[in-house]
Amino acid sequence: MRKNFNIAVDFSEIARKNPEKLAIKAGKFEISFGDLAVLARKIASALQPNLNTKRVGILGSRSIPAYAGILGAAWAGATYVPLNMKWPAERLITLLNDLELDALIVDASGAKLLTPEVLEHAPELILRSDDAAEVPGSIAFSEIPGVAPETPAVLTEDELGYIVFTSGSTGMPKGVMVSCGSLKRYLDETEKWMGLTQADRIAEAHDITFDLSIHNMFLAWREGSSLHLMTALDMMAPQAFIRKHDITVWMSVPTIVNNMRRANKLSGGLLPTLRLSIFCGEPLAMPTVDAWASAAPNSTIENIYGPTECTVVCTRQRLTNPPLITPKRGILAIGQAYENFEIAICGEDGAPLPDGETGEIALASPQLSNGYFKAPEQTDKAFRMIDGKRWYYTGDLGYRDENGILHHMGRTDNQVKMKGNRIELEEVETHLRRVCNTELATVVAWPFIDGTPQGLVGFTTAKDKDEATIRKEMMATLPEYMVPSRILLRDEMPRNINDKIDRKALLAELNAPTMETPSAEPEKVLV
Amino acid sequence: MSTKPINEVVISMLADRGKPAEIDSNEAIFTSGLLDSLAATELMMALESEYGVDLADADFDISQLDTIAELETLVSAAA
Repeated sequence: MRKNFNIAVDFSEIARKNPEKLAIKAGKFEISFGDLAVLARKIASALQPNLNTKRVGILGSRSIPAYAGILGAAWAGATYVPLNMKWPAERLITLLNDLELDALIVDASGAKLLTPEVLEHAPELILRSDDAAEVPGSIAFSEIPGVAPETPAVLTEDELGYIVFTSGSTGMPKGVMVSCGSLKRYLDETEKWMGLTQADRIAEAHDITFDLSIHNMFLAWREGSSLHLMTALDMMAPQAFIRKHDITVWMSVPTIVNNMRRANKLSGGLLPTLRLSIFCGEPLAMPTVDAWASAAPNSTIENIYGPTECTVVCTRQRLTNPPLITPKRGILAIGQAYENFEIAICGEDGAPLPDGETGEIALASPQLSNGYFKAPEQTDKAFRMIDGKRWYYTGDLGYRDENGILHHMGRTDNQVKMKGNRIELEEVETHLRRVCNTELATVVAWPFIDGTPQGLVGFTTAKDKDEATIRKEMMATLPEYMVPSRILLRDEMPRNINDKIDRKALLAELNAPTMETPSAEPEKVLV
Repeated sequence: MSTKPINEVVISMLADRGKPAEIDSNEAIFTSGLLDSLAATELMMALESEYGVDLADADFDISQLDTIAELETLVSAAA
């Protein structure tokens, strides 16, 4: 029976047995397991005497210092909390106040966000990477005098490993709290089908604020594989990155593949080094699968599904021949649940539905997260005890077919997923209403390609502000990806039978051919 | 088709995202996190469709697109 559930334990064991092994490569920089362990232990030694709430914020890009910060926070026995670089200052400040961090760790990009205004709300202890600009009162990694023990601090399975933020309908993101035990159970289940070895080279295409990064990082650190961090620039040409670094394992949202397809970058046999490709976070349309299967002929393809609230992933469907398709949507099925999950399909009254009927997907498992940080009401709404068992109601619609395969059918609410970012339309609306100072404002996701939303369009009756002003003011409180690309001004809003703003009528307007098209074409976005 | 100078394209992308529009021509745009990968994709597509830059080579070294100075070199070579 394992006694120490610290999420850095697996890493520490690889570092002890195989210190020379490459751990992370990022641009021209690389670091071995041994050297990264030493850096993390230094960071941990600076954190340990200051732990109180046991929460440590990480503000950084995909960089070695940001990963060292995550590992150092864990090593010290703290919960790591990745903070989104795309948050505007106002949101960052609100969350810094809520989080009561013991310390903040920043890399060069994160340090740039620490304006005097933000610093006022940051914790006293700030650790910065050596390549970061000077931040008043901060300590550079190399200035830390001590080094923590070779073994990470002992934690029980109930203590929190990390808090990851996801969109919330109240106007602020919700922090999902995941325990060390839930993460361990996730990794135990996932390593069974990943088959990682020390020879694997895993590309990291997503930020540390996105929980796909948790999958890559902690599985690589369990097996001794190397992580290859992609910069924003590498993301422009993922195929070149995969070829240059002989990547063997790829995981991303399907949008990245669709961008490559649109730019004619995926040709047959282009990516022979890939042995495993994993897609997650959006519906996986068959044309996307086919293009990837042809470009990566030696790769197995897996479609995975899982809300952040259930610790990264809980169902999986391998691409088979013929593929298991969700008929009405032309997407790959989301497959079968992990062994440690129970799945129920619930009707509107919450009662389970028979196979074949579509309802809300509910999940029960020891892998479930602890709920939302400082949001007991939202937690109770989403996590419900039924006959002594705790269930998470996903808000996703789905059904189980006669072979026990799960199919995803969209959302029950107004949440959308764009490029892997979960967005509650109500959250965006809250901000649009405030900026426009009217309740007559709404946001729809539009247009859709292969059933996947490509952008947001806002509608409002505000008279005193133009589109550019509204967008600019929304940008002050929302990350850019949540600000509608178009705001359309209306004299009045269409109403439905319940006298609510009729989103369907607005969508129909957008779909009408006479409508001036807010195009998703890049040249228009650039203007 | 008249195209605007590439530095103006970058500056308007920054402004669109609520970022300060002042940028040194040797400052890293993407590896610094100033603009994200979606912006990078937009820019790359604009380079190909509007500036005639050929990025078709699967092994094209993308790291030479990180500053305005580098982008200008690339665009003028394609012109």
